[in-house]
Amino acid sequence: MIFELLFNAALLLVAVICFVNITLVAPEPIQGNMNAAQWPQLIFGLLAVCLVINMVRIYRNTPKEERNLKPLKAISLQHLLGSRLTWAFVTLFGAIPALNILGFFPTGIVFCCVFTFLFGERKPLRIILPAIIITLVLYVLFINLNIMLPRGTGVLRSFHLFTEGIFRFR
Amino acid sequence: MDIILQGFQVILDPGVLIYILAGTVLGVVFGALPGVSSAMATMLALPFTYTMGALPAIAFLVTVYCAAVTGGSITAILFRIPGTPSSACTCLDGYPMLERGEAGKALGIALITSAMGGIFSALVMMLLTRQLAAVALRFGPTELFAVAFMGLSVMTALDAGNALRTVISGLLGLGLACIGIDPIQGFNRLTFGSIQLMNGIEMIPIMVGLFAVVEVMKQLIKKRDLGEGKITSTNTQIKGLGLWKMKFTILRSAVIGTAVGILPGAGATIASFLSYAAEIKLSKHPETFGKGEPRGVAASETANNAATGGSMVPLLSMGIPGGNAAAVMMAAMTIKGVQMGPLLIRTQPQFLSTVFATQVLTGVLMVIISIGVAKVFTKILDIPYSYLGTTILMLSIVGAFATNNNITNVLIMAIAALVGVAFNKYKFSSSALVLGLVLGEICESNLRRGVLISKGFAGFFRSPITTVLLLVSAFMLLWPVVGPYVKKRMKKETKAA
Repeated sequence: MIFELLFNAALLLVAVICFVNITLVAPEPIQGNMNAAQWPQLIFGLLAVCLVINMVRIYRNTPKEERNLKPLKAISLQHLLGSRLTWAFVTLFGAIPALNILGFFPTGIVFCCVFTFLFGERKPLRIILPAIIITLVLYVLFINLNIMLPRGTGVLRSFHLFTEGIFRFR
Repeated sequence: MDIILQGFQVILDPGVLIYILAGTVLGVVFGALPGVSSAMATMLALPFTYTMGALPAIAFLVTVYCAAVTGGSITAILFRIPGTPSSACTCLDGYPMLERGEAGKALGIALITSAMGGIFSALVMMLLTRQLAAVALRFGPTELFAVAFMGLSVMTALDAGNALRTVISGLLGLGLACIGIDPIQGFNRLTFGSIQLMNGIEMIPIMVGLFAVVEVMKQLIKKRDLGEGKITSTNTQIKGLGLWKMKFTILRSAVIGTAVGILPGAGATIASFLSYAAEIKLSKHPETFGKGEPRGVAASETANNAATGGSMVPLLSMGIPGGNAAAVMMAAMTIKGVQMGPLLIRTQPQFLSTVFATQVLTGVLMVIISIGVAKVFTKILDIPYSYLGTTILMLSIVGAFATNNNITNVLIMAIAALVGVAFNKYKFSSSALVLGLVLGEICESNLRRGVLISKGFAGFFRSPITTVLLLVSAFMLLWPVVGPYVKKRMKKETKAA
């Protein structure tokens, strides 16, 4: 119950922040028409109301003996670090700045290696070789569709420009 | 009749036929790649047309456009990645069918009903272009708002058991659609100083995050290996589709798709959501939807393809591009000297007939080519999931990035995935969020235009079309709440009698 309530509370917080933000910076109302803030205000206002109702319903529908903070106290750093889902999301979010700095090639290979490992593969060759193949196939496919993938910065940018020259067929 | 024959004469020329064949293959493959929408597929195909004559060029582009919408269903079913936004609904039942070991059936239904939708709308267009264009002209902002609102009102049908959570999800989607520069005043909303958010939130990263990445994460927790499991190429045979049993679903969805496609600004995505929700509403077993119901796949795919035919009406007869793909096509046709608008039927009827004849032929070819392409794609399922899942994630990242070459979209996709995992756990509806996101901008801009033109909300009810559509929407919204009470009362009365 507590985690569900917390998730709803987080959504409620987002809704309230958005409502306040749009209200504070709202443009001058136009006579005879809705201004740019009214529609979002309506949406976020309704969203906040629905979330409050949902939270009340969750609380009411939970048996009294389960209405406590015990699950929160049960969370430990060890438990979090042992979860594959945590590592998967850390890798996913970590790939974003890496794509900007290192570019597609190195990031893609490391990303594939980590996920193959998370899926249970343990032999190094079976991790590294498919990672290179997957990254290379996607790279060649997309640059030939004229969709430029992240090139990174510095030397890696030059490297990506060089590889683009090699792998582009037209 | 002469015009129709003229169209077929053009496309049956061997040179044009080759272009149509190539366009079908290209379109299906482009559509299957996440991040390459039907509009982007048309854009990618544009350079090929520079050396073609006007009629072959148009036939080629129309083919790519129609085939890309169909191609989107392949990855939607096999990997839960909607290749195009319009195939988001196909994921909902297509992927559970695959999990049940019915990948071939799901693909077969998707591809054949896609073709049926496309052929149906093309035939309707051939016979009724003028009349439909006249009807479409009567759709102003108030009517378009009513259509979009009707789309929103079906939201509760997506998960009737969790109406409140579904509404919350839909409102979140509508809220996301508010981000960026507003469509009327050009005012910056909810960007919190980010330049990247000024263009608004793209649909593809959200869909890919909510559907594809979440699915991979689910498999990661389950430790299930699809490649070594029951889904192999041996049970992806396309047979025993039971299309005859779905004849009314296909017909209804084709009509809805064509009608929605005609409306400028609407499109294949709205059409597929509307017909999917209509099927849930009309079904005797709505609880089967979202759990691998073949009718869900048929409804979504028939409608989104029928909408491609419908979208040609405002483009050709009024010169209004209904969506991004239509805008690309309009640019290409203008380069080739086609003057779109009401005079097209009189001055250059060959273009009109070529477009519709191409759609009919593409529909037929698509069945053959798409089944071939789908069979190649299904072979991918034999790959161990440790590699397949990783490839899906990589494809998701590239797809999100490719939407407009922006790393922010990858971040949006990752956040959507995180939210999607929580949505799954707490029974919120990802599809309602997507529906809200799709309809948000159309709903708001038309509401505000409508209020301006009608001088207030009361003016909306001066239009009979708007009034009827809003009443139907109100009924659809309220029925899940009022319906059970009415049924209870009726039961009581029957018992008493």
